[in-house]
Amino acid sequence: MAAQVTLRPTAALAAALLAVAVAAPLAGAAAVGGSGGQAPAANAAAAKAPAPKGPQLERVKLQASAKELAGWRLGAEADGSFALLQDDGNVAWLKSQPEPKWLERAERPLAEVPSGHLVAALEHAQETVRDRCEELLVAQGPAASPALGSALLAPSVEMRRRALAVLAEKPAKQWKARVRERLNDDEKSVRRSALAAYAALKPDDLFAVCCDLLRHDGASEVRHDAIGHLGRSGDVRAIDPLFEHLNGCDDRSLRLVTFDALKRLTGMGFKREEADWRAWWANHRDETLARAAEGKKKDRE
Amino acid sequence: MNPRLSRRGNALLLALGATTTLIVAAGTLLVAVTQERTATEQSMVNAQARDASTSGAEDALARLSTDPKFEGAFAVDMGGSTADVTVVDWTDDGVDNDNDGTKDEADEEDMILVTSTGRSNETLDKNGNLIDLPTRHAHSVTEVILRRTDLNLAANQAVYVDDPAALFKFAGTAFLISGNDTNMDGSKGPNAALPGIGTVGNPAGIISQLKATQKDKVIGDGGPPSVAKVTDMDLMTTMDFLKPLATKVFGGPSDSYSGDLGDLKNEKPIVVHAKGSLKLNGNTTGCGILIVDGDVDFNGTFDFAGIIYASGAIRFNGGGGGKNLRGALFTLGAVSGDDITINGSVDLRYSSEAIALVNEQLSGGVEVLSWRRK
Repeated sequence: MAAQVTLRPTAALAAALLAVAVAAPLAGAAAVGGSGGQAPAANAAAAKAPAPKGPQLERVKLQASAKELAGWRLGAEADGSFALLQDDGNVAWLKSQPEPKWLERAERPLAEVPSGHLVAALEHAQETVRDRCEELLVAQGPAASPALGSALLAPSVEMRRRALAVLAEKPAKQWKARVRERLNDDEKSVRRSALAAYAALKPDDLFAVCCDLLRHDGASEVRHDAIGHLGRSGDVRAIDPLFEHLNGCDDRSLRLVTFDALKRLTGMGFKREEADWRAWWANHRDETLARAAEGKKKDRE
Repeated sequence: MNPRLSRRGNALLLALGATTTLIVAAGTLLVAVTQERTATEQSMVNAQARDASTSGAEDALARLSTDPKFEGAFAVDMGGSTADVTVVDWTDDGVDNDNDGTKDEADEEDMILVTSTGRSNETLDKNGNLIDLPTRHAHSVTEVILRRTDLNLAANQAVYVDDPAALFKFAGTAFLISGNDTNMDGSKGPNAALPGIGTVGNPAGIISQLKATQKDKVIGDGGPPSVAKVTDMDLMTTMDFLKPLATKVFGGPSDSYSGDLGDLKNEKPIVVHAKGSLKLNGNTTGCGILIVDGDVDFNGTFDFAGIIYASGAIRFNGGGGGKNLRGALFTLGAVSGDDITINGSVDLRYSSEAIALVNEQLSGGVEVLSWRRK
């Protein structure tokens, strides 16, 4: 017969408090451990450490195949393996099951991850690693900017493109000249990202740059984005170049984005009727440009 | 001559002159007042007749909105004025209503003419002839031409993007775009899977914007990622056709809203039209068709069954709760930048059931093509 245990209210309360006191550090350690913490020493250390602020990444030391490895768990996983950005900058793939022997696990500020290593991994063979490193560089923000400069000149198209993608999210003025240089990159995907990064810097010459790309860039994707930026610029001087580009333009995508840009610039709704847009512009060009010039003059005053 | 008598004569002349002037003035005034009163009375009966004819036409519209097959004649008595209303379906009335030399041809199909004759102080004899009454009287005729709407909306994908070069911003992995047919209750629908995202042209540009971990978040035919080239759709024409059916209209150019857009719980759809940009904040549920002429931001919790059309940016912004759509989403996609943002817990699923619900319940409405008062 099972013994029945009856607690008095005070004893029950004390037991509950004790349970909470014991469970809290364990829960914290489990959270730190991610896929089930197995290192009591590491867990105890993590429990004692004050809760770090800002974005975090798990720093681990582990033993796998009789080798001791230390680095940052990137959070990139595929086929039952996870990616570890080692302290030497190399990325190792380690099996999640059976779990490696954890020697040390702790959440550390993301700022402590060497940005240079993340940048180097932007050309890693596996897309998940490249994606994750790009995300982490964006999350690092301005702290990652110094490391991105060299990536803009890297021979790898993927690295240049992804570095520009990071700069489009987190603009860094110190790389303005290099970003602008990449607008002439041989690779259209890089030029496209370069335009996004350059626009994020809000430079004074964005209007001129977009007009130049619209006239001279051979890739329709780049011209598409240039039209988009012109449409959002609010600068009605863009309307003439847009109509100029529309002459003989048969690319459906470019025509769509041009009509959208015209709508955003003028507030008119002639949909996709080129003739209607041209007729309206012929009748309102001088008045619209004069009003815009006057507005700018007033702004300057 | 007695000087006193001479002064009396002068006074008499003056009095006569003054009296005459007063009589003339009073007469003129009387004529003016009488004319004014006559005009006012006539104006009043004219207004009564106009109001009666308008009311009669609106009554017919109300009847047609609940019964689109309604035909016939009825009278509306407004206490002092009346309206005689006739509702004629041009489809098979044996008359060349549009004067093009052909009776009941395709042009006249689903067209309805409402004629409402409002009368004030007018009485007709048993033959319908006006009885001449010695009172002010008037009549006014309102003619309304309507077209029955027959919705046959369909989707070839869960999310349609008109511009294959449109830039998406897929953030995180908490979203799902599914071309697998899903019923409104979340169970599996009867139809074959469609692409999650469909575009006119090469889908490579969209696929390249999905990160490795996001590719299995766009599922359906041919996936993951299920992004495919689909048939071109004339979205603008579809949107223009649907806009007059809207019973809830946001005037633009920029509106914010939180609340119901149709009755999702009881599956009563409506057509909503935003004539500019629309921000849906807080907790929004809806059922039907949402048409946005500009950008649309989904900020809070959003739960919608039906079809969404947008001509500008579509931003499912993170935070604020889940965003669920059962049906289909169409975007003109002639946009750039982060105009198609999928961030946070976003669940966009093709649902043939939701589309059928919209087609069935919103078909049979009437659209006003012209309104003329004589």
